[in-house]
Amino acid sequence: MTAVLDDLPDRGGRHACAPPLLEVRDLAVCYRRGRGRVVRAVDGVSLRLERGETLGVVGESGSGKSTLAKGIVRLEAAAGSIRLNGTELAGLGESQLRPLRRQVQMVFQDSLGSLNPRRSIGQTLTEPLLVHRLASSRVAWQRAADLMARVGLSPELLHQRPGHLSGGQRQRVNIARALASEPGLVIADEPTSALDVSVQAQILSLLQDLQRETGVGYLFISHDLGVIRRMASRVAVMYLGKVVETGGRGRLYERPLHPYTRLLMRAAPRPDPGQQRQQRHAPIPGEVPSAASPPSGCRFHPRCPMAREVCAVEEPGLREVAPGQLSACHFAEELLELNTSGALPSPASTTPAP
Amino acid sequence: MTSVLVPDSPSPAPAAVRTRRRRGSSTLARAARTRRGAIGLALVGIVVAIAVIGPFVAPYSPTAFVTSPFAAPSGSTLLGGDVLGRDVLSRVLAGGWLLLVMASAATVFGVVVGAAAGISAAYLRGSTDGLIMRSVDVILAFPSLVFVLLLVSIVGPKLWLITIAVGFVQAPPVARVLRSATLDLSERDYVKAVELQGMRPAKVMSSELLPNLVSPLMVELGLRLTYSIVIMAGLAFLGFGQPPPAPNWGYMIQENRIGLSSNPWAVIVPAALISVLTVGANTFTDAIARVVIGVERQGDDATLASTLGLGNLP
Repeated sequence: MTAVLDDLPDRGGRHACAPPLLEVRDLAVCYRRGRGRVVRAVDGVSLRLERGETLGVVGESGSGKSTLAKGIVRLEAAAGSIRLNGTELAGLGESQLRPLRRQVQMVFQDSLGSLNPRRSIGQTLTEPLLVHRLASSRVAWQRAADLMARVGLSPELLHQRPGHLSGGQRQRVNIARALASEPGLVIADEPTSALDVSVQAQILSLLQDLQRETGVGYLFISHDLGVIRRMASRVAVMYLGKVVETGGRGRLYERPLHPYTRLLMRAAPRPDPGQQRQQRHAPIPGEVPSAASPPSGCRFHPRCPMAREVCAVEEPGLREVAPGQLSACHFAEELLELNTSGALPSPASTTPAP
Repeated sequence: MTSVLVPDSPSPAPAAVRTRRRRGSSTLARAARTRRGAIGLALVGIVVAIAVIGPFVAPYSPTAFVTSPFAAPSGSTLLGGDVLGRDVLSRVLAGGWLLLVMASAATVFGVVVGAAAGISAAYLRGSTDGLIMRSVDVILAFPSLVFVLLLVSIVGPKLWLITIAVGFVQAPPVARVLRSATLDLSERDYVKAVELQGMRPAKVMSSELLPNLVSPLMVELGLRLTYSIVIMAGLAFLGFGQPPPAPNWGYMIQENRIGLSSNPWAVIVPAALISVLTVGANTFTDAIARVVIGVERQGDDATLASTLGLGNLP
């Protein structure tokens, strides 16, 4: 499975030997719930992200997207391999990890909760530089002012507390903080989900501009397919702790090769009225099952309109179905033949598995 | 432009300074403005004034024999005489300040130790948490007065030891309260964000968590002061305080109670002062707690008390 991932085309066209910015293999994050019950919130996820690239991770709530992010930055204990610029992070103690921390930063969804209410914006923004002793206090404050200008905020706000700022301003501060230590990778966990649509668009543009200027790579997590389409060059679709489909943005949106991806796209409301009339906004039946007791076989089979007997028994692995496009569905080839993102084929056998 | 931005420049932006000042004092100021807070503050103020100014205005030396034992109040001795014929008023005026100083020092010591333990336990989790909280349980299992008496009887009635011992027995309940407050905070995203920056745990606790724990700390300071005064006075009553001729409210109750029928003032006045101080400190603390929680209207007292651990005495 991972061998296939390695064969993905190198989008940057860089020297073949250069290690990718981020390479995650078989990452698993487990929680212990009660006596001996283990919840595998993220179960065997492998990802690869090149420098300056944006990988979008999309899925419903409860799919393990945020846990994946926390596992990668080791805020949650995670099993598996996490390589950052070729350096293995798994197994490193917190003190060994500390000097590497500045290379990966995060932007959180809750713009207010991610800023300390008792510290000024300036104190928050200078901290990344002071922690790593990259600058004196004076230089750090000047750099904070530069950062503020770069994310489109007035340096006057440096003396304010987060409570005095609007949601959009706070999220700009969060982005500025994430970029302060000049990381190669920023993990954005639903950075615009809590914002107004107009502010959302501004923040997305800002993230794109900053990527162009600094060459930072984004792992962009969202439940919003539209946002992911705008931001990501490659997309990974998650369901119940696993990646069910991954591929380049264009192909994946044009011709999804996993029933879940198809249903997710049909469930998304479309702004285009013509298309909307053609295909009604159709919610995915059922709810995401609990990760504490995932369904047998393919985890999506209880909700899948294509499900057959084999789906309840055998768990499909992620495999390359079309060039650069991987799917974890037993019948991905059938979807490939369909060639449209529209209707799903009805199952060959009579009834969907229970 | 940059001069405005650098924090140690002589004139930082006035807006920022104003915000900070107002925030720092607002809880106390708002508590003092409530009726409850004003009463508490007034009661504490009266007793503190007596203890501080008293030694300078006392008509006699607290150790001078000026009248007969348990003499009734007269023109020259307004509160009469004590067990040895010393002036009760002079002894009351001179016998408070050391109690206050020792109780305050013990409280600060106890709250600092307890807060450090509670915050570390909650933030570091794991074995640190287990170790600290089990020690807390062990100390809490002893009645605090017995614990202090045990220490004092081993080492001797040294004032510094009494202060530290009284502070030490205050630390466990403070640790519990601060631990639960910190547990809630340490899950916040801003803590995750600084952890991601590679900030060391000690710095996270002191510069990220502590500023957000000021309110529970203030409540604990007030509450623990009340208990310190009670324990200190109790110890003095039992004879563990300054050695005898020196005046002490707690010890005055003990040495003069045999003359309760001839000159009750020698017992009533020091007892009343301790009570007023305790009630005042408790009332003001309660006012702070109410401001902190934001229930200045008639709220559910039981819930409030249990939230801040105000319900149970040590």
